[in-house]
Amino acid sequence: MKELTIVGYYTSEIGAMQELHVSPFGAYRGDVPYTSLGRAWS
Amino acid sequence: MIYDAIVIGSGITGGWAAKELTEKGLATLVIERGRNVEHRKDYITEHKPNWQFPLRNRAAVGGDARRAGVPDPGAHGPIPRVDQTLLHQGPPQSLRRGQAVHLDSGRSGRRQVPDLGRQVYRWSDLDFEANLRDGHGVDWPIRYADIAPWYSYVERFIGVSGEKLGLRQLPDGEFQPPMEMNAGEKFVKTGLERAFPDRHLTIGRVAILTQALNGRLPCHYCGPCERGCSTGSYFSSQASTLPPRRPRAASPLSPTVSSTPSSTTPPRTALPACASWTRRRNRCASIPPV
Repeated sequence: MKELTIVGYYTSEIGAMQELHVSPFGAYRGDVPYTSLGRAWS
Repeated sequence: MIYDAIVIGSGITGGWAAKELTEKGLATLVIERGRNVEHRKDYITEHKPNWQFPLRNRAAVGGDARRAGVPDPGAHGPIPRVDQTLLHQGPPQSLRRGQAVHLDSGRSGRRQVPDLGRQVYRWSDLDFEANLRDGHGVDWPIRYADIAPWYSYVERFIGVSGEKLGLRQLPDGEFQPPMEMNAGEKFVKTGLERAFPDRHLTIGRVAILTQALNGRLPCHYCGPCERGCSTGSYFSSQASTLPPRRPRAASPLSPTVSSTPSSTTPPRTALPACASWTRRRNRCASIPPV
């Protein structure tokens, strides 16, 4: 149930767009300080 | 229409065969079954967010899929997943009670697997000499030195990103800059190589661009490659081997080849033309007249 809740929320538009951050276009930086990110990527 | 060569299948090998034959001046026909997947135009789920898919696009994985008889993508590597995503793109079907997934398990599906796994590793003489050394099987008729220029020829065209290591057992190729490892991968690499100085951990050598190449753009890291790649960042027949030889007037993968000039002599440059199999009842029923 916990997994379904988390997966359901973070694959929803609100979870992915409002809490997290999504963009299909960008560069890949594999190793950056988490605090520099602001919102995490979905 | 008379053809000098007919290529069966437009996958990675077929695409390369068609490219080479066409560039050598042969009028080439590519035959493929099932529905056409045209570069860019048919990547209709590309960049589509998960919440716009039925079941958040997670139905093909795990127990639901197995109960519904859908091949688990994990069991077959990336290929069926590519097919399912690229090929099952009709309007969403309504789900009935008890019907969890509706993926086309893809009798039409093994066609035009566009990208394979994209992992690209050269064999070395450890491989080519293995039979000779251990006495099993037949000795390879070639050695690494024979095939190395061909590796380079292919790699320069398809574009391979990776890290040069100078290892005898895993020869370097014609690499674009490697993708960066993430923090966890770097941590493991550091620990591994400290504990075992003769062992290496390196980023995958993949036919995914980190620099532009022949009109294809570097990867933009959107994530789900299997939904198609309009920028052609991963190597595929659609993006790489077939389009440069595509007739201007129409797609070479259209069911007819009437787009080629109506001349009795096949044009030597505007090919390969492609025909599609019509597949009914799990067998190839007809091929449209060409």
